[in-house]
Amino acid sequence: MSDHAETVLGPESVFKGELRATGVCRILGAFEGSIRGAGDVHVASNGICAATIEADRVVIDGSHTGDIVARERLQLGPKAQVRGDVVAGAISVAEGATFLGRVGVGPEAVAQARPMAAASSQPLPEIKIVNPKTPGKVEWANEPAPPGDWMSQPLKAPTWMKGSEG
Amino acid sequence: MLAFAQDYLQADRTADCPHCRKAFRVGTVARSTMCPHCYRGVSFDDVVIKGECSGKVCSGGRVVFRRGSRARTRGITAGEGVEVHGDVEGAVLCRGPVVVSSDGSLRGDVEAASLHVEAGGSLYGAVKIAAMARQ
Ligand SMILES: [Zn+2]
Repeated sequence: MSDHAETVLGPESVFKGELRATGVCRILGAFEGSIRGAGDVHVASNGICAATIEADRVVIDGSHTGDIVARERLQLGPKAQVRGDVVAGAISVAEGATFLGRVGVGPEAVAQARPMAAASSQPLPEIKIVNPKTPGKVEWANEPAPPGDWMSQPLKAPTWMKGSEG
Repeated sequence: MLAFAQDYLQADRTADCPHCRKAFRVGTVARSTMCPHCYRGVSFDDVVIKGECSGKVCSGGRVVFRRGSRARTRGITAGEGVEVHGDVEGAVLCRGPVVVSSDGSLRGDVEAASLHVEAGGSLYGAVKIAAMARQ
């Protein structure tokens, strides 16, 4: 298949399951499950994704929960909200984005990524459709803290800062 | 003195104490001061590490680990940014961007305003990227 093939999940759409795609995959609606691709995955600014993602390049501008393997590059835009463990060849998290997770970046991390992707660390939250007529509006059914809340807590100084030296 | 120069010298900005993390006002041209909250010295000069280094690394400005540097730190705190071109170990707390270049390696947890690891560079650790509320 051509590298220019494009798979688009529209802004009013909800998909649950496993998606395998080549070329570009764009999530404008709500996606739950897993995405495996040989090209690019883009979660758009209003997109909501609860999935494991494995692709060459991953760009997230919306909300994402789940582990990510980006063999070449992971890019989080200034409005991205991401929670999950990441393995990537390179990473860029813009100012304004919120991200929480363990990170392994570099060629070695990517080479060892497969076992990590197979043993995904946490169960993914389930997306619940609030109103079937507007499926773009979804909420998390079993997520204790919806995206955004976990970042609102005040930051605590790490223990190594609390000593008297410096 | 020219009016604009006087304005520049009298202007102030908000800075963050790298020790207690509280914000305070300081003159635009100040290179060092004492934190009014914890009374510890704060330097706004960049810290550049070219060789080997251990212990804590602290600056109200930027911290730069040059290519070939080797640092086994007990923590890195920077007000304006951290650049890693060498081999660095230690937790990073930074109000600005953390950049690991293609020849850099960082092992440690990172809490910063933004993060960039270029292809070829490496980073292992837990990461928290968020706008840090000033205290
Ligand atoms: Zn202080």
